[in-house]
Order: sequence, then C-alpha cells, then structure tokens
Amino acid sequence: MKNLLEVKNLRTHFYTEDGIIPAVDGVDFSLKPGQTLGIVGESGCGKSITSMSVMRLIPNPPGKIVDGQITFDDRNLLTLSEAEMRKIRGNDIAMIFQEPMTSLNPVFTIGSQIMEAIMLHQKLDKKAAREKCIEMLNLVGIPRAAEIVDDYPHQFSGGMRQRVMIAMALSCNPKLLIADEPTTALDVTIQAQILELMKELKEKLNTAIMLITHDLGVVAEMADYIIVMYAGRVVEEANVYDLFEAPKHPYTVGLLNSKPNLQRTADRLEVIPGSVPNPLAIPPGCAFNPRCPHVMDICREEMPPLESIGGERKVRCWLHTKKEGAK
Amino acid sequence: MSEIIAEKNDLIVVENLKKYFPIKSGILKRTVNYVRAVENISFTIKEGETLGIVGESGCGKSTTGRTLLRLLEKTEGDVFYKGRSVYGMSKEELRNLRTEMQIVFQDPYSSLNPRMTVGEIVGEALSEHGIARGEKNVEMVKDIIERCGLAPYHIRRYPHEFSGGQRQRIGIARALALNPKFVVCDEPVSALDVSIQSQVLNLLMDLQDEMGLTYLFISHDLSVVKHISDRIGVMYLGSMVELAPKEELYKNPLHPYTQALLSAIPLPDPRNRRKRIILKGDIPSPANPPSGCRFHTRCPHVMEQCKAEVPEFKEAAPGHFVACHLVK
Repeated sequence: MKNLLEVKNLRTHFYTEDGIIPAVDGVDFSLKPGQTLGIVGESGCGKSITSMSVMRLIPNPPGKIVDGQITFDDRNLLTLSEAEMRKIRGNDIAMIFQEPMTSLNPVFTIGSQIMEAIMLHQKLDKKAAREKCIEMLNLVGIPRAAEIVDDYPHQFSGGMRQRVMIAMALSCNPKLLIADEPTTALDVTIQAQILELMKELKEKLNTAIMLITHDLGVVAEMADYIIVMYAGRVVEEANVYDLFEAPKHPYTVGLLNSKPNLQRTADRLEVIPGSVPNPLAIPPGCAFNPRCPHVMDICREEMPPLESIGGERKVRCWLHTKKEGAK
Repeated sequence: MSEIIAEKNDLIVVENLKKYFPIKSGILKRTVNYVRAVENISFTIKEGETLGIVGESGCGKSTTGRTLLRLLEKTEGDVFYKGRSVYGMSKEELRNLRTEMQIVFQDPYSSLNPRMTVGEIVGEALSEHGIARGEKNVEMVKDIIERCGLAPYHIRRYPHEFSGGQRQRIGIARALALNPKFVVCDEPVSALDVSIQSQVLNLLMDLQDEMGLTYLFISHDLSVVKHISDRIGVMYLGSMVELAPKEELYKNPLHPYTQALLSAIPLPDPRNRRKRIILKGDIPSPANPPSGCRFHTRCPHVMEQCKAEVPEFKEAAPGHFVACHLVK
C-alpha cells in the first residue's frame, strides 16, 4: 500500500534570544491509509512540534521549518502556498488538541463552529451543513444532538467538548487525523469513552491517525506502529507488539520500566537518572548519553544513525549499530 | 454510623467528615446551595502506613486532605490525630501541630514563592517555629535538601532555576524540614514526566523508611497509587465507595465504580487490549448529587433500591469496606 504521509528529514527550529532551539531535528516517518501511528515522548521531545509542522502551523517567527519534506497524498506540503494549505487543513488533515476547554471559541455555539468548516470545505449551504453537523454529533455519541447544536461550549463537560472537537475534526472526512494528547486532560473513565470512540470511528471511516501522547498505556491500546522521540529526534521505531515486548533503545526501556505497572508489583521503580537536556545545550553525540546506563565512549562523540535492525524496526543507538570501520 | 473502629496504632482517625462549600448568589451574596465536596467519610490511617486515595476530578479527594489538616474548616464530623481532635484544638495547639502534619502540593510551579530562595523556602518554617535560626538553620536546610536529592549549593538559587522534578523535591524538602510525622501528598507527581515521576516516587518511599513517615497519598492515577500505598480508598462524588488493602482492591474490587475505574486504565501491553467496562455519561455535579447511591446514574448494575437509599459503608471482608447495595 502507498504511504499517505511521508515525512523526511524534518527540521523545525526556533530562533530565540538565547539561541537556536532545534525542536525537531531530522525526523523521518511514514503513515499508510487507515493506520494509527503513535508518537511517544516526554515534554520537550518535539512530538507536538512535529505534528504542528505537518499542519504547517508553526508560528514564524520564532519558528521555522528549515529542512525536510512532508509528502501527503503525493504533494509536498512544504511547497504549497498558504491558500492551498488552507484547503487541506480541516479538510484532508484535521487535528484535535489536548485542551478541549480552550480549543473551542466560547462566544460561538458549537453548531456554528462545526458548520463553519463544513460550509467552507464541502460547499454546502447552511441548512445542509446544519444537518451534517447534527449527523456528526450523533456519530460521536452526543445525546440530543438536534437540541444541543445551539448550545455554547461552557454548557458542556470536558469529555463532551472533546467529542465536539472530534465531530468537528471528522466532519469533512479527513484522510488523516492528528490527535495531540487527546485524552490527557480527561478523567480515566472519560478517557476510556473517548479512546473507544476513536477506535470505532477509525474502523468506520478508515481514517489514518497520528496519535501524540506521553502515555504508554494509551499507545499500547491504540497504535499499530510507534515512534519514540527524544530531544527532537526519533530514537526508536517499531510496531506496537515488538516495541512493548522487546524495547531496544535504553530510553524506551527506561520509560517502560519507570512507569508503575498494575500487572506487576515492584518495591522500587527503575529510574532514568537526570532529566531531559536543555534544548539550547543538547549534549554532543547521542543526546541520551548523560542519562544512559550503557553509555560508551563513542556515544559521547558521535550521534548514532537511525538504523534498521531487521523487519520494520529501527533504532538510534550504538549498542545496536556497529560503526563502519570500527573494530 | 460507620463500622470503622479506631485502633491503638491509628495515627489519624476520620469520623463522618463532611465539607460543604456554600454557593453564593445575588447582590446580598446569600447562600443558595452547597457544593457537597465531601459527604460523610470515615477512615483511619495507621502509623507508618501509606493510605492512597484515588478518584476522578471533583470527587473530593483534595478537599479531604485539606480538611484533615484543618487547612479548610470542616462542616461536620471530626478528625483525630494521636487521639486528639484536630478541631478541638486551640490556635496555639494547632500551630504546634503544624510541625507534625505537612502537605506536598501538586503543582511545583505555583506552590513555591518565586521571590524566595530555596534556602528561605525550606528554612522559613524552621525559624518560624523557633527550631533553628542563623547558621543552624542553614545547616538543617542543607541537610534536608541533600536528603531530597538536591545539592547544598542550591540553597541560594530561586525556584525558576529548577526543572519540574527538582521543584517538587524543594516542595518535599519544605514539608519535611520540620521532621513531621504525617504528610498529605496531594497529587505530587501528576505534573511530572514519566521518567521524573519514578524518581520522585522512589524519593518519597525512601524518606518514608528513613524518617518513619505516615502518608495520605492523593492521586487520580491508579497505577501510581497502587505502587506507593498499603491500603487504598476509592472516592466518587464526595463519598468513599471502597477501602481495602491494595492487593485485595486490585484483585477483588467489589464496587462497580472501582471495577470500571480499574478496567478503564490503558495498560502498556498491546496483546492485552481488554474489553472495558465503559461508564455512560459524566460525573454529576456535586452541587446537585443524585439521590441514594451517588453512583446510580452511571452504574451498570443499578437497582431500584440504589435510587432511594444511601448504601452503608460496611466491612464486606476483613479490612475490605464497601458502600454498595449489591454487596450483602
């Protein structure tokens, strides 16, 4: 199957008073239609900036996509004009954000906010757009859709607002849905509802999903394929089963072990020492080397390449890659 | 009322605690209704143990922690610390009690004064309570921040110079400076990244061993609570619905809400994508809670009785308390 989205060597940098922040520094990945890709990492690893770059929503200045290629449906998004990009945003690629509280406009009814996108992209008149809007609200499981379509966002709970966001995102039948921490602000029982809904809709509409999250449980539940990011780079990629069964990169191993697990009991949690590096002073060599339990001399000198280690798996680590010419 | 009986080694005994917040409205700011944040809860905490409280937002878990320390005044009920009523104490006695009961807050960004150095933040309580001033104060502060994983030279720095995990260490050092017996940890790791979370959890557990601390550990994250606690109480909309030793609670949850909550957690195990119990609807408003059992509007096993009668919080198995009409 052909790739729906292909990101090659994406570099998004931020130019600040203190220096250049390489928020995303050479990221590659691809996504097939109907597939769910999970992007995992801690705060500041560049996972949200990657998704904003795909949508071309990086504020400039201070940010800029300095290099790379983003091919979506055979078109390079980085060479499109702003007007062409607007036709893609919300139509072919839609996005849902972490904060259902702040991503809806409080002074418009939810109906008018959903209809805006439908009328713009699908060229429907007001009446037809309203019908489509009610249909979408029903689809995402909002009760009494025909009545509440004229309500304002503050009349909804967090979970309901996230359903509204999903209805809005899916109203134009996008080929790709970018979900940036879609359930992080929600309670567990509501999170379970939203994840279930996303799975159901994905089956029904065959939408590809790029799921950005820090929660390993959520990716294990949802994703087919996972990339793990650290300090602006991909450190490991694998399908979901391989990654959880046999993580290769020491950072992935550390992440999986440091999370308290309901299925096993341990007296002490394993710990990744130290903290995420300052983006203005990323250590030379492998960015993870100051925290890595297996650090070697070469790790401090040279950045390991992201290399295939068989099958669909790739890892960026000198433990798994032999340097050419080295003994 | 409740079957919870205080025992000798109980450090904290909470009896039928209630906390209502008035909702005021109109020009005269008359009280029109109450937010029933905590409704009649009872439990005990043994010396040296960690009692975890889990629940979703608005379930009253933080209010419970604060009412217990008398940072908020109760509406009804009582709290006993070493057999003495916290609410029967004079101002002076309460002030002395503050050296024994402390709290660690959730947000390491807003709970530290940005204009104070770490030394001032951690040392303030020591001089305030007349324990140590001057040189001795600095010595004690250095000692405690070192035990919390910071370096002695950090005392001259300001909070903004630290990362989230380090700030939480400062918050912990501040709470422990007075050498307390009992610490309420109110979501201490929720704002932190996974790799930092585990560092702080290990620190809290090490300090508990070293200093003989008793914790009330409040969190919405069931896996974190399971890791650190000895016993766990589950709260829903102001009520405690279940309380049991942790292994028992996770193996044999009796309340339908606990069952749903446990099944809702996504596990980091893709081969085990389970069929979940998905609760319908949202948490009702605590200003206008449902009649009878507060969970009846979302309960998959609801019966007629649940809508009318509040279930009693009773012992279903030794040490395992539950408030549900299904459990006979």
